[in-house]
Amino acid sequence: MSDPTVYIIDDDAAVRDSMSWLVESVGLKVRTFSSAKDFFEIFDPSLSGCLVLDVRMPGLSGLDLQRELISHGCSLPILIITGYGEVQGAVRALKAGAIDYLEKPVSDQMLLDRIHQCLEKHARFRQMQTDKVKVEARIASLTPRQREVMELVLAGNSNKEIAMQMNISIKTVESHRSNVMQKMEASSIANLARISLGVAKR
Amino acid sequence: MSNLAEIEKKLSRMTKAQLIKKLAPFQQASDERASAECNAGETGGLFSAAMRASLDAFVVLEAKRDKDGQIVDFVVRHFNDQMASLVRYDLKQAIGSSWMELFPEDYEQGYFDRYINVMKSGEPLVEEIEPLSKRVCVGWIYHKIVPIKNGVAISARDITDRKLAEQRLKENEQRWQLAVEAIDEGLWDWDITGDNLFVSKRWAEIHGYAEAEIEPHIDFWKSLAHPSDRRRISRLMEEHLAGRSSSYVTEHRSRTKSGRWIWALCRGRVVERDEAGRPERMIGTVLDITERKKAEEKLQLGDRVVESSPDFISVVDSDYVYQRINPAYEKAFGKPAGEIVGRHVTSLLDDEFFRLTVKPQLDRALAGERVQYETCAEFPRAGRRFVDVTYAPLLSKSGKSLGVVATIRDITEKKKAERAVIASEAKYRNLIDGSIQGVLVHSGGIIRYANRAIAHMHGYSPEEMMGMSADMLIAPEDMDRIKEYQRQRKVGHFEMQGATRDGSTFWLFVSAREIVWNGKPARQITCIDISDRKRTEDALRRQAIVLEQMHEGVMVTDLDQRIVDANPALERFLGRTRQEILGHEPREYFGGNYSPDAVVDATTRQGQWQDEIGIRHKSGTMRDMEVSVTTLRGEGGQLTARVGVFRDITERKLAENALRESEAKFRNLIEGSIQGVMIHQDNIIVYANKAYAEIHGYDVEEMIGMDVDTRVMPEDLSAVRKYRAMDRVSVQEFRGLRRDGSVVWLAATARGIEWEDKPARQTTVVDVTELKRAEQALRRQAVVMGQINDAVLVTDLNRNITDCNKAAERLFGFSQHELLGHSPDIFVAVPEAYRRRIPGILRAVEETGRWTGEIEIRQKRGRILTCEIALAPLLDDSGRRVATIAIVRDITERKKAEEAARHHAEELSQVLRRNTMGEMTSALAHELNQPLASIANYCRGCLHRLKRGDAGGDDLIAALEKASQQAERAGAVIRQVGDFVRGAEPRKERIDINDVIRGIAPIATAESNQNKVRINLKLAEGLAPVYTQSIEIQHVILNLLRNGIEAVTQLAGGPRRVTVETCQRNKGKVQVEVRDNGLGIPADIRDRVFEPFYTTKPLGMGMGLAISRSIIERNGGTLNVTPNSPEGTIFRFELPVAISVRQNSV
Repeated sequence: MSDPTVYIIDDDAAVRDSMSWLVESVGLKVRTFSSAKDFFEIFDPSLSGCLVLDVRMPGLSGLDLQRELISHGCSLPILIITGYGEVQGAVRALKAGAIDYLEKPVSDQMLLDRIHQCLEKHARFRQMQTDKVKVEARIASLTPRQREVMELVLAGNSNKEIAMQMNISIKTVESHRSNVMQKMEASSIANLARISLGVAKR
Repeated sequence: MSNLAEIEKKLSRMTKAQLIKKLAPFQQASDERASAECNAGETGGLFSAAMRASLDAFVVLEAKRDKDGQIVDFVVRHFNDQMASLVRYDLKQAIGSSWMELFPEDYEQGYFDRYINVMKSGEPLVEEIEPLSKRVCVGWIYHKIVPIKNGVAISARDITDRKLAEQRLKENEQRWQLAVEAIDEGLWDWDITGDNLFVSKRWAEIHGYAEAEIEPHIDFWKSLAHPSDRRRISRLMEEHLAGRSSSYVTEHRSRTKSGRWIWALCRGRVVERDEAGRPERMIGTVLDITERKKAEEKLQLGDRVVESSPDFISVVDSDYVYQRINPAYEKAFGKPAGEIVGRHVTSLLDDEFFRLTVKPQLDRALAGERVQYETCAEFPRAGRRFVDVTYAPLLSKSGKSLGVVATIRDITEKKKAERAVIASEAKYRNLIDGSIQGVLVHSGGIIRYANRAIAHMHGYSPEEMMGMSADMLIAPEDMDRIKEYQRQRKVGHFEMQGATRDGSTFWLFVSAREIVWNGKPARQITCIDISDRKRTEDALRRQAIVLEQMHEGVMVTDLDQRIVDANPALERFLGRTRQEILGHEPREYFGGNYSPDAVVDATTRQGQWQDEIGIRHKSGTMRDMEVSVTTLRGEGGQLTARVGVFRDITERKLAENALRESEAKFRNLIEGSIQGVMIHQDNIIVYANKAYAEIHGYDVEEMIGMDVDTRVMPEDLSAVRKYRAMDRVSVQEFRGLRRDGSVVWLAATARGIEWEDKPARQTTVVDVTELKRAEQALRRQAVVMGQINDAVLVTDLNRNITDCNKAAERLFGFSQHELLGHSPDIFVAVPEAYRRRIPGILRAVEETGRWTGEIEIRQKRGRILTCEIALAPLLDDSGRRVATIAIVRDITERKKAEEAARHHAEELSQVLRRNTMGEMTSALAHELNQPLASIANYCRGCLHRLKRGDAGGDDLIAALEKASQQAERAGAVIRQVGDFVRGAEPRKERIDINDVIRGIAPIATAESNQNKVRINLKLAEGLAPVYTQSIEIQHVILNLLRNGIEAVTQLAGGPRRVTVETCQRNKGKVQVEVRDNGLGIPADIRDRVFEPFYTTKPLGMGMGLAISRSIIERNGGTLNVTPNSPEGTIFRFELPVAISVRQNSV
């Protein structure tokens, strides 16, 4: 995965350059693009960081780009910059999932704060994704029998009840159960619930 | 000793056997004589005489016996002179003395025993002995002991000399043997009679055999000879054996045991022949001359080489006379060998050249030295050539000089090439050696070349650096990075830290490239020591250049707050030259809020001070400046000066203020407008102002996203859609629907625009419901009046009113009573005029049965009304007109309403025209937001960096430059808008167009000078004044000039010209042309340049020409564009001449 980068897309060279100057001044990595098309040329879903868009751009407007990105599986948080009188576009952008919008001229602190938020959000998102993959792998490692036991455990059944339901001995249940705990790397039932819930939720 | 030498010589020629043979007769004679004498006994005198005469020593010993008859000693009986000298004993004393006493050593050695043995055996004893006795004075004695009666006689001879000679001979023989073995020649000895061939070890070696392997027959030898040599060898051998040649000598090839061929020099001679002269024995030698043969072959080869050599080779003897020359020499001097050989060198060479150049060298060679020199010589064919001359001395075996071999080689071409190489190498080497840039070449990490500069930087000498590891020059911090560059063979520029000999480091700016050095890949490093560059002095010098070019004013003050330096920008700001302000205090030029103490305090403590202050121009005007003061510190850190950087923010301030005002103005204008403004895309409302929302009974927010068609009354929808499809700016009336379902009459204009980069329509609406309602009421009333309230009059054929209704009374203000019996003239406003129309009216009535028209009536109270009148005949049963019925309707109100409506429409269209501003607003906001956002970003970026402390001066300058450019961009937008807005408040006056142009030209010239554009003014004299607003026309002309300047600035070369020309077009019009010789406007877009928002410039708004045209048209003129010839564009406008002047001039 690449370094977190702020991808700035703006058709106005001065705005692009100055924003890059500003964002770099707080030590962030920046790449600028004069159009959405240019950005698509380097885009790949593994990019990390966030996007800063101008809603009013030639070629592909900020909103179109946003739609396009989502359809490409882009998880980058998007920060929309609007000009005067373009609030409506911003509202639509927010509805479509942009993290925030800022009206020009933009306060630098506001912009930088939002960018940091975006970067953090994306980092968290990545982390969660990684965790999810791990848990899924753990679940996949369970045998069908173990999975059944786990589901019954999570449903709040005691060993005895599980043994009855599955028509097996308590000892066998206990053995399955300890295997489940081990494979799921869970320290307690609560922990197991939390781990498996993380997957179920998303 | 010569005697000895002679003997030796003789002996040396004899074998031992021969020697003995020779000596034998003499010995025998001596023995016999001694024996005879002894046997003769004491024969007296004769014997004594003989003894005395003998050359040999002689002694007679008598045995002395003991009582048992045993011999115990010998007594000397006879003793001659020779013996006396031999044993060094007195002759007189000897007789009768004891032999034992005389030679005690011999006795002890048992020597006497041989005497006794001789006596007993009776056999004489002959022997050679080395006497032991000291008494005997010689080394070797030859003696014979002969028995006599009771004793022995001994003769002895000194043979020491002979013994020595023999010894020498023996040694000599050994030596000879060794010599035979050692010499190079193989020896052979052929016993011809017995065909027995004897060969020496060397002979065998020469032929590659061991001695034992040699077959001792001549045929064996013959078989070794080379087949092609055999016949010759045999012939020579036969000749010699037959005695026809004195010796046999051949050089022939002989096969060795290993099969190799050697050259053998074979010499031989018959040494023994029988009485018949037939050869019996032949001896000789064989020498391996292979090497010599080879050398000879080489010599022959050499000869051939000489002959074919391109070098000019000659042999000159010690008298400087040609002995031999090769063909090349002939060719070079253009003469055959016959004309050269045998003549003096000067027959070919110039005397002086010979004397000064050739002779001294030749003499050295003649003295035995090998000489080589280069010179320049004149040749008959080739002209002047550089030659390399070698003189090799030709010496005889004895070392005597025979002459000189001269080899002359033409090296002109080589010389030329060498000179070129030397010259260029010297040039480059000098350049590089003397360069202040360090230059270094290394391959495989080893330094192959380093110039003085780089050596100096690193603290070495260039010689020391040769062969050193290049790593030694890299600071440890940068080692990994630079090694990586080397590995990647990275070329280009980079900065690095170098290491010096003493381990200190310094900064280098390096340029590296890959080259080939002496055929091997290498890296060439060129570098500059930028530590020096970073020193204050250089930095200041460098900065000075920047300062000169800066837009920002720069002022340097010393610690006494005196100005010590200022740049041109500051001069401009102050309107004073540098000289004028040097030494003065800044406060003299600064506005009220400037406090020198605060600056000193802040800069001393924080190193910086920043504020906005006003500075006073020489003319007295104040300009707003953003000032940043920093300190300059010496190398020791002590404060040396302060530097103030002044940025003129007057324009920015103005721009900011103007922007703030205009933005508010526009925003208010559009938000507060009573006109509804709405934008929709694909029928979905994306923007609506407050007025539009209110007209429809909604809040603005509610309107966004609504379908516009839902706000149109269904009956009007098709008309509205049709209008929409026409995409034409004209007024349409239709009925809109309010939220509560009520209808609102709207007058609308619409046009296509871009909204979020997509086509959209902007609709401007005015609520005309009230108007419509009035109109409708009126119309309704008219209908009612037509039936009830219209005035109805009946006149007879005499035009007397015979009847009228109530409405007539109301209309005319007369009572029925007052009307009846009277002519209509009493209420017709202009009766005379009406009467004139009557015959025509009557004719129409009679022909068509009806006439309608308008008539003005005067009411009784005098009010004039416009009425519509319809006349119809009242016919009797026979169809004759008996009366005329007039129906009169007051249409005054309707007329007024119509007028009002027309007026309103006019007003509306005016408002709509003004609404261009409305359209501009969103574009304007965008245009302004972009630079403002950029400025803010740049400034904040700078602040963050400064706060963090990682700001590079150059970076900040670049960023601030860019920020100021953006401020200018914003300013440009504002200026355009400002001009446009001012245009809305016309204050016209009579002006001379030439004055306008002269007034605006300097502004344009200032811009044109930057771009090296020349502006020509061709202003016609005596132009009539025009009636217009000066500032507007200035705006137009400046705009056209700027366009022209930009057009020609794009030209790569050639003159850049913009011309402004005025002329009196005709009596009514003044014409102005702005021509440029730029690239011109393509025909396909020429018509579009006047469209709003159409632009070809990166930063343009596309309003300039649109506004210009609207200004000219508003002033009754025209503005158009045509191509210039041969290149460029002409913008031409005409303005009408002021009316009063026109009248005067008529």
